[in-house]
Amino acid sequence: MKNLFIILVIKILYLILKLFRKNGGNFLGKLAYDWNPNIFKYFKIECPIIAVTATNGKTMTNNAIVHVLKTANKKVISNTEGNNMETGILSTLLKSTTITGKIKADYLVFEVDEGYIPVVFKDLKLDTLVIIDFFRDQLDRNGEVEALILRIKDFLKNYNGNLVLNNDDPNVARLGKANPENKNVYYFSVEKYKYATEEIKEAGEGKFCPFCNTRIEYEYYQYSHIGKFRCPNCDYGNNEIYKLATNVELKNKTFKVDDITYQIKFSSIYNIYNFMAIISCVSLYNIDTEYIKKALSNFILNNGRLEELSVKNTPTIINLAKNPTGANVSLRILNEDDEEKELLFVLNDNLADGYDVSWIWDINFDNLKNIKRIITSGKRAYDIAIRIKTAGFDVNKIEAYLDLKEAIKSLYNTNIKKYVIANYTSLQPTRKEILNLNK
Amino acid sequence: MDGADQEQSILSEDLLKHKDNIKKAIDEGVFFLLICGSYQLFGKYYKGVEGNIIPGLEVFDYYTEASSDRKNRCIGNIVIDVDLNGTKTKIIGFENHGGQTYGINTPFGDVLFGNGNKFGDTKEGFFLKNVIATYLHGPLLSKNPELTDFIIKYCLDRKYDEDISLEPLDDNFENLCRSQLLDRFLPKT
Repeated sequence: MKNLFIILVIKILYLILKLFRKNGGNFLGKLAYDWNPNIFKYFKIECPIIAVTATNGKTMTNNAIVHVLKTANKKVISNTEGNNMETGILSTLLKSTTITGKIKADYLVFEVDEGYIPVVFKDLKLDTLVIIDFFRDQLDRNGEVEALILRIKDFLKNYNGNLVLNNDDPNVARLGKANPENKNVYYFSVEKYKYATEEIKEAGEGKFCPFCNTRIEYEYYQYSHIGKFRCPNCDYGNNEIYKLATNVELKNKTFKVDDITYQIKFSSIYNIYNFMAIISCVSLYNIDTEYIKKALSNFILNNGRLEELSVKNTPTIINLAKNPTGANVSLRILNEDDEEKELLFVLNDNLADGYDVSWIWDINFDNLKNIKRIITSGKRAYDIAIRIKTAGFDVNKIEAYLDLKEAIKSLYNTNIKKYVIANYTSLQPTRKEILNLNK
Repeated sequence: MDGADQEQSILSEDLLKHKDNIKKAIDEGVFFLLICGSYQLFGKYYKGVEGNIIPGLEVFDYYTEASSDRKNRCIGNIVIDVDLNGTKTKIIGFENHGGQTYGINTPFGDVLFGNGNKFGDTKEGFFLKNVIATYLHGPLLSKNPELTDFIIKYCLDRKYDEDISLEPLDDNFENLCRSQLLDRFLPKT
């Protein structure tokens, strides 16, 4: 009875918010959760629930799974706007539920913050969990990666649903053994791509086997610690692969799975892993390949995640980087591009970014290719300038501006191609200032 | 040196095997800069939340105890006032440690902003002759050119047995960064 009342109140609030054209974000969920933390139990959900988690790539993968399912004419409810903690997911459910707690959909798909899987799915029955990667991310807020993995491992001990795991991330693949009884574990992998290396190029985690503490061996590294690995002592890593990407051609933006060629709109190796997570996940629900192909060929994210723009007739690529791996992936794309370019790096240290900016020292700025100039900005403009200088980039080609407007004004005083990397809270202000130039 | 938790225990076991050599090197005047985990490891012990004792190298007498609440850590920007054998400077960094370190008689600096060796401490780190141990990363050396020069000069003087003067480098960004951050963190006088 109490829950019915809560939902009634929330529904009315939601209608009021809608009248004022407000979305509410996490607010409704927070209200309901504070009222009754067990409210998740109240929902009567008959369709499969899919959850996506990772350090990097949650939003893209989640939204693409939704896009594929919708292309296949399924009714999908999802938190595509990225509210990924328990309150955000609750908000999404509350907006779609009937008064009696029924949710009518073919699929519920949620992006879930990697720290909140055990909280959200304590009372909601999860059908498929997709895990893409674990990297160091905001140590001051999240703590060490290891603690996070152990929390998810604990949750998985009693989980028997589908588990879709990246076999090329030793931090992720290990979770396939969390519950030895679970027969529904599916690993995906990506064949060696053109710029894969024999030595690790960027900072990574998980150098030791989680089962026997032996140093893990790699056949190749794709990026960071993602690559083909194996424990020489206990053979950890040698799993049967459910979906394998072959013929990865980043320049043409194509790759193959099961001999079917997929055309996509993204050009980073890191995106290929997201696409493999997506294809593996929807294949478990027998979604027709034609729908998958069609959906992936037109899927884009216009929110500063590898967004391509033309600004004052200058090609510009903006990408979010909230941790070293995110930044390293952006620099990979930049280094794999032969053209001349200039880079803008915007770094803030607000609460949502993490106050600790020392992660920038795990970004690999060595041997930058064909960069004419680097401009830095944000509350930590000097910190990032020092980092880049220390990597050996000519200090006379670095300009630092605390003021974002000044930085962008200077950036566009040439028409050389631009790459823009911005961290969490700086991304939207940066994007907005840049788009203003087109007005 | 410092490191992630799982790797820290692997490291600790390995390091204990070299205890005697490390002690000898310190006695001979080799410079040691110890950050966070290694700062703790060079003390007597680290006492975990459940009371378990992880033995340290026992090079120095200080010891560390985990804060009773796992979620409660000393986290944030920090500024300390130090005296590098006559050169007074402010050291800027970032601290992120659950461990509370006790038994320090010769701290590295006085806390101007942040926590230090314990929650709300007035002292930070440990400094004795050729050993600086601190919770500050940030990273420490690029934020604090004077400290970097001090360490480089110490090592060169020791190697060549003379009083070497370092040629100045372009520290423009470093100095801009320092003045910006000191303005942000320290109360206006």
